[in-house]
Amino acid sequence: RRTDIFTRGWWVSNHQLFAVHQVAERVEALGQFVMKTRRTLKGHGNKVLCMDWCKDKRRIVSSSQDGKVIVWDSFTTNKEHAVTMPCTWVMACAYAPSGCAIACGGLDNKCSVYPLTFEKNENMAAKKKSVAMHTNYLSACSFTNSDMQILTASGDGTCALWDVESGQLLQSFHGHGADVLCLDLAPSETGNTFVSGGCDKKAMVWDMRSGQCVQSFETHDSDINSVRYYPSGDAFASGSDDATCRLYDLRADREVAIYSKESIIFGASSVDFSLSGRLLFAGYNDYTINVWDVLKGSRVSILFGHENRVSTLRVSPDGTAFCSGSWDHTLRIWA
Amino acid sequence: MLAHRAPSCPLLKPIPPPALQIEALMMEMQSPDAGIKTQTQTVMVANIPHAVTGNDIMQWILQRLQITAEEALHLGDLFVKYGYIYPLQEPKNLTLRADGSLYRFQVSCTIYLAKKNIKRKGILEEYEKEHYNMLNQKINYKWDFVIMQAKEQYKAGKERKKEDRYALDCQERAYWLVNRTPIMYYQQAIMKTRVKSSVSLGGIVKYSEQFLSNDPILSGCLPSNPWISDDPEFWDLNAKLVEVPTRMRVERWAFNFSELIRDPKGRQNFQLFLKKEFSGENLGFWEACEDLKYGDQSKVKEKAEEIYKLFLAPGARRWINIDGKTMGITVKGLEHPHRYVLDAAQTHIYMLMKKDSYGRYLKSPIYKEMLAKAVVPQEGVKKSTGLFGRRHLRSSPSPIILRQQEEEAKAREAANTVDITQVMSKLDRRNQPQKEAPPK
Repeated sequence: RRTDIFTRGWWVSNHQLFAVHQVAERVEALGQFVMKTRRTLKGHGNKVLCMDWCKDKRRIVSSSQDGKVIVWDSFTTNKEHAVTMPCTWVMACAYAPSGCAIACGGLDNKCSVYPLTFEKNENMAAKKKSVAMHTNYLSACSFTNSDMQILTASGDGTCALWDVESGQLLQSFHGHGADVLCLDLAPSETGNTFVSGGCDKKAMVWDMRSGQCVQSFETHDSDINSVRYYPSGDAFASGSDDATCRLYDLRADREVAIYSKESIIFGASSVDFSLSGRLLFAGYNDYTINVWDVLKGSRVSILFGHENRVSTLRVSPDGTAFCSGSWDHTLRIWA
Repeated sequence: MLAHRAPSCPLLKPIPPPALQIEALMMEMQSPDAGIKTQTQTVMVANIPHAVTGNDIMQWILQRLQITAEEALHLGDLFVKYGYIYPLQEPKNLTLRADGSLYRFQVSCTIYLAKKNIKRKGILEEYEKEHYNMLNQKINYKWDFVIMQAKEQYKAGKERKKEDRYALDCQERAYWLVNRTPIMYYQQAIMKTRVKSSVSLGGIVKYSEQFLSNDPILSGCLPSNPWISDDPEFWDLNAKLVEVPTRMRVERWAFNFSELIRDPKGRQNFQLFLKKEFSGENLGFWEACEDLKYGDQSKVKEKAEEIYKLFLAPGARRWINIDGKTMGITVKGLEHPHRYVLDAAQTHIYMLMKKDSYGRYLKSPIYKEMLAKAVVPQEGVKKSTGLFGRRHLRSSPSPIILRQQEEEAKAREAANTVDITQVMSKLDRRNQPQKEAPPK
């Protein structure tokens, strides 16, 4: 049986199970798979670097290298708001849970919050709130469960939790040995944790209360560009410049899958799970999107369409589609 | 750091100390007389102080070390890769470009140590003292410069804005955490409990299988996937607090407690059930705790007090039933309230709802009725492309408008409540004079 997975000596003589594909042997294989671009969002004048979905399942915010941040109703492809940041390389953007504000930042080393309004002489820039201050570029940001708190990751090697209203630093997270490139908040109601990935090849899990690193994984061979929790919160996936994506089981405290192929030699920039966690969508620097069967370890589809690197990828809140952003200046909705 | 726990891998990875020769060279590069001339560079609209160009770095190395251009470029490239110098314009591209590309120096290990020494007036940790002395020996001839730089930075640091200082302190602490002895992480590793792989992986597989039918990309959705059919009816049927939810949605509430409590409609239905069991205050308390944890930092003290009065104080209107020990910890913590002060109580109540109420809820008439009433949409008609291609795409009200409407509705509700109490008190006043009329 032809498989596309690395087994890397996971089979131990006493047949302990360390890899997800071993446990998933009896799981039914996926059927035929067809996904197409359903919307193309044109409007950015330069590389799209980041995007995030609104909880209403159709609006999105996106940011680009030229400092533009745009809010779209991606269903109709209408642009609803736009702001130009005073810095270039807006590498991070996020939609607030209420749908009434966005956060963004990049080379300005800050994370700023913009309330969204429909005022006639809308001047979003004037209402901007400067929240986070790092000593190097902002690589990622995310609101927690409300509009009042933001979690940031930075090229200065730290992550931090901020109070939006006052700009106060609530907690900082130290441990990465180099730039932190990504973060994701755990979906659980009970735990208060998040995972981050960095240029030190490490993925680290943090306790938001104490600021402590509670788990750390170092199996990638290069920068980790993207981390995303499995929907149950018991695992997370990573995408790296080493051209692989990996799955880490948090309760077993180990890597349990590597998603790779000999033909994939460019780095994975962004990953996200489908609603059930069965599929992992990964955008790559070779302009493609690979769709992986998380349980079986095999690739189920490759999606062509973008004309430059895929830099960002997120599945919609209800799992009906995913959005990819690219250095080709466009965003695409796939379903 | 916890290394990958395969049988053959070492448990700990040794962390190499910073190369002292590189440190010394970095110091020289930044020195005001013999170093590279730095200046404030403008990148787009941002002013970046103390920046140097890649070409400057190349030239300096060439002159200083008298090596070939190829060697100089390679060395400079290594400095960037190891983080001693960082690029400003393409932050992820850790290479040295011998052109006008901008770079900046990372604050060096030596200066950190010297600063710390000054700040703490000679009190350093053991491993720090060792390192400090070693550095002193190796670059003794440059030591005055190091101390001067450290003093400058310390002074400047004191005058800096609070936020800047905070951020810089973070950077320093980060540096030291990375270079600390690994003993601490080893201890953490021993204390953590781990689950057997097969058990944990089994859970991951089970979750995927359970949610497969709910995964629109894999199993489709009814009446249709809006992105494919251009018909947003699926979203209308699954609106946040829709009158009648779909069957799939109500069935999901039975998968696990988290699915129920995360869905606003599910929570609403669960609250109805709890009220019947006279434990409605449990959910109310849990929601108040969430609001405390994720809300405005400035309102923490005020909210904690309100929650205490409403749910925890003896004789409180919505008193929650928690064990004596938890109550004790909570009350003690409330003397100095912070965002997580109610964690113990919140967890207790969450577990109570999950392990106790939830099971009964799923068997209750309230849930069963919801399930029976639930809608099963018909599969939608294939999309009609019409003469001009895509059907007209309906826009939806902005979340901004929706929030306004919600707030107006709440305000109206609050106003109505006030009216009722006013009416009641009017009635009371009319009755009273008859009772209190003194006997003639």
